[in-house]
Amino acid sequence: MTTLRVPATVASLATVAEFVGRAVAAAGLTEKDAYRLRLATDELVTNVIMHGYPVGGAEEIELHATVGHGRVLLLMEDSAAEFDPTRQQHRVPSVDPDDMRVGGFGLVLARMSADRLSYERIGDRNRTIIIVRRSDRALIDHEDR
Amino acid sequence: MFQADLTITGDIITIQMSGELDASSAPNFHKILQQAATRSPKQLILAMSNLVYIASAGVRGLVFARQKMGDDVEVVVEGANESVADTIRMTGMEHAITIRETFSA
Repeated sequence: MTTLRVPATVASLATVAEFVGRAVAAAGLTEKDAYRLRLATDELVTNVIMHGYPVGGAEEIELHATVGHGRVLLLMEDSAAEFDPTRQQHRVPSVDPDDMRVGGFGLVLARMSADRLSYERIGDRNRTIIIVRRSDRALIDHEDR
Repeated sequence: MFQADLTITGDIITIQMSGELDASSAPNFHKILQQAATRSPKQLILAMSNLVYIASAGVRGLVFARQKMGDDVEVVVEGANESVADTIRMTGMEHAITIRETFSA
C-alpha cells in the first residue's frame, strides 16, 4: 500500500493525479480505466476541498492506494464533517438551458466512473473507498463483491 | 497544465484548449469564456483535441458558456478525445451543446 498526504487545496490536485497515475500503472489498468479512477478520485478530493473543510484552513487529505492485478483500491480519508458521497442524489443534474444549475456534477461523475464506491465514518474521519478494475477483465475479484 | 487561447474569425470564436482542466485550472477557463461572451459571437467552438482531461469544474464552464451565450449561439465541442467526450456526456451536457468528435476542415 502507498500513501499520499496533501494539503486540502486545489493546488494539490496535480499531486493527487500523479499518485493515482502511479497506482494505475502498477495495476496495469487501461487508459480509459486510468481516466475513470483519476476522475472519481479528483471529484471526491475536490468535493472535500470545496465543501468539506473551511476555506483557508490547514487541513489535509490522505490517500492510500492498494494495487492488485488489474485493480486499484483507493481509500480517501479526511477529517471534515460527516459526509457520505454514496448517499447523495443519483440523478444527473438538470442541464435544461433554461434551468441550469451550476454544480452537482462532481459526485455524479465520481459515482459513474468508479466500479465501486463505499463510505464509512470511523471516529472523526470520513473514509471513502473507490475501486476501479480493468474493464476488459472477465473475472471479478471475490473481495470486491 | 491547462492553456486556453481565444481566436476570432468573423462572428465565430474558437477557444483552443490544451492540458488538464480541473478545479485548479477552471477559473482560467471561466475568465476566457467571459471574454468570449462579451464579443457576442454566433458560434463558440471549444477545440479540445489537445485537452487530455476534464473534471466537473470544467464541465461547469460549459454550462456557464451555454448560459452566457444567447439561445441562437451554437456552442460546439470539437475534437475531444473519447474519455473527455464521455465525461461531458455523463453530465447530460450533450443535450445543450454540440459535440463533434473530429475536427472539420
